[in-house]
Amino acid sequence: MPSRDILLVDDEPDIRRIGQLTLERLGGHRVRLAASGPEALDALRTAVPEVVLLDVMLPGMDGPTTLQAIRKLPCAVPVIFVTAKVQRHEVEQYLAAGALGVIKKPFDPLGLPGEVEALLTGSKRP
Amino acid sequence: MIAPPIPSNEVARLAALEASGLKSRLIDPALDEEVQLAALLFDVPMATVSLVDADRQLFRSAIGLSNGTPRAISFCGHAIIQPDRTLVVGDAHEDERFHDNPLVTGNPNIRFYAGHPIVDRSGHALGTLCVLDRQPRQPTPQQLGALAMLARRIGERVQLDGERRSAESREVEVRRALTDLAQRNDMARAIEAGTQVAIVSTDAEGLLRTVNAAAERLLGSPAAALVGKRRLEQLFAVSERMPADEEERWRVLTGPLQGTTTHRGEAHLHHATGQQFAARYSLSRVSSAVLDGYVAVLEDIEGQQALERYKDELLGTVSHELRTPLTTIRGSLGLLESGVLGPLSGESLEVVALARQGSERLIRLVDDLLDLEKVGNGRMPLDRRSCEAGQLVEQALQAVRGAAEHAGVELVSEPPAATLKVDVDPDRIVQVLTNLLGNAVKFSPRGGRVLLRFGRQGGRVRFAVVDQGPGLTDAQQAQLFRRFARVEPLDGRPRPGTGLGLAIVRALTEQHGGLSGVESVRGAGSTFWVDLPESPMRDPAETQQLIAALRAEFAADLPRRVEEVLAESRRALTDPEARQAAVRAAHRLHGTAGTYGFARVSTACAAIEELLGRPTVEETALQELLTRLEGSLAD
Repeated sequence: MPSRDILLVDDEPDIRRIGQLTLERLGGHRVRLAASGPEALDALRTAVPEVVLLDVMLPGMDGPTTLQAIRKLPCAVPVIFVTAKVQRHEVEQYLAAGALGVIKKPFDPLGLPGEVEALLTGSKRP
Repeated sequence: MIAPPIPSNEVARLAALEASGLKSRLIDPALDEEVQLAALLFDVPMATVSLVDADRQLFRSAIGLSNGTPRAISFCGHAIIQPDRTLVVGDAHEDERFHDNPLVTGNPNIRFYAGHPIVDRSGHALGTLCVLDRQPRQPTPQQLGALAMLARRIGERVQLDGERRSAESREVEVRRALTDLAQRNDMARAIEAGTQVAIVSTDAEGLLRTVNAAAERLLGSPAAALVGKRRLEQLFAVSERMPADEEERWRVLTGPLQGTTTHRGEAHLHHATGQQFAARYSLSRVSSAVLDGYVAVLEDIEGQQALERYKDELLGTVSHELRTPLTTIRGSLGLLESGVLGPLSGESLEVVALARQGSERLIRLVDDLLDLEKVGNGRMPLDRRSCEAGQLVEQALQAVRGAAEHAGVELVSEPPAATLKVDVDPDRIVQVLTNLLGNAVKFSPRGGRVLLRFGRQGGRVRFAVVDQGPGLTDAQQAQLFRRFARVEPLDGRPRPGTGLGLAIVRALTEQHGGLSGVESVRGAGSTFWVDLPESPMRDPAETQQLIAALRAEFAADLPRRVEEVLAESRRALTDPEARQAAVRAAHRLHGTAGTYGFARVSTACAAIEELLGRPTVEETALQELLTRLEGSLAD
């Protein structure tokens, strides 16, 4: 599995920490963290990662709104939603909004790096 | 001495004596008169009515005698052997039966005895009227005739007295029963008035006859404003289920009632304030001497529904709030277990694995609760599409294959010959089938088999999961689909689970307009099934096939339906009332026959319909059309 730069956006510190540990220790990736939509946009302006893992239920600026904002930035970074809201019509909305895919919360830590990789390499279709 | 013999009808005789009331001295004291008359008649110092009981003779109204003697030494015991004859002993000293009798040799020193049996209407000699003396005597035939007459009079008196007493006791019984009934009636009224359950009754036409206190409170109107003035269906508000037309509303309410059944439902009721509230009703047809009509029990469920909504919302919120920490817990434990944060010792690894499994179980529970809450609130929008049943089944089988292998259970599916499509949200139905299959695997013995069968049934598609588990009792089957309904398995082995799986199955199936259920025989496995709507979308070949099948079905049914139109039309000729029915029958057949391409039937029906619709009907014209219709069956 190639080592990648990942931006993980989640308002829950616990989730951020677990996600980071999982991706770094299991996947061997480099992970930056953001706690909100605006923080994520700031981080993207600083450096563009290979993928953004974006929570949907963020307070204030929610995931889809953040994605819209990201699409206005001069970078084509793929965005994966990490969310508990994974009903078919919700997933279709995310994809229509330009997300690469969806990972269901609560995620299986052992499987998370693999899921991200599968979405990035296109071997898993949402 | 010779002891008296026992009469051949002794058992019945003793019973008659018992029933006569003579023994318990209930009899009219006027027996004294007969005894005194008898004593005067013979001019003797002793006379009595003697009742011959099992072991003793008992004296009544006795003159010159004590209470009685043992039967074995009695004279009367002999006298009753011949119920129609007077026993006369002129001198006891000269009679081999009595010469050494203690009543002869000692007190009261009997020498003379004459006794005539007292006989009831059935011929039982209960005892005698007898006269006795301490000297020998020769009575005249007149004296004996009079004695017999007196004895008969006593017999009649006993009979009459018995009848009077039984009539009296009947009267007492009737009076008691009436009092009892009145009390029960009062009690029933008290219950009706005091109960918190709202009860109204109507006559056979639906006009309100009684409205109890609880119903007055529920409806906000005094009974006087309702009884005899409003009809039952007028209490109900117009809604999806309750049509605006009152007659139709009455039919909605009473239509489902057949025989003595009770019809239950939910609807909205009018309150006197003009507001409406959700209510549950149960309606029964009552035909009795007191009431020929309907009884309805009404219950306000507005509060219940609000509470239910609140509970669901709370459940949803709590579950959602649980998800985040659960993600963290499962993630942390998974990381620890993986060893990437440093190796764990054997036992540490074991407890971490246990904790991780526990957290996963909690996550499943939370997922189930959230699902249930969403479905229950209608907040799980269905993404319905035409899905191939076989593919849904395949996905569900795939999902439980691992568990089945682990449990050593064989999974088999039995698809129908033709491709079937269902109009469902595929994710949800895969979830339903997975739930059913998962349960079946869980309850199967190792080496058992779980079969998923699906096919058309009653206009829907039925998916049935058949297991070889321990089966279910009727009581278990009844509660199984409720939330948290974990039943004790008949094989005594508890299984892990959230207790929500089948509740979700039912909720999801119902949201699809389908049905779910279980059939099971104790010890012979269970079959859980869901019926789902078949997809109306088909490929052209399938559509052709279906049309052909329906056409064949219609053709088979056609003679019966034509016969119906013929019969109704003929009836309409003589009975103008029947004309509407005939027009309707023709109209129905006209439409359906057209749809299936039975042109001649359709045309003939249309003509009949038109003819019958006119103010006057020509018999010959109709006859001709009927012949045409009959002939059209050939095509």
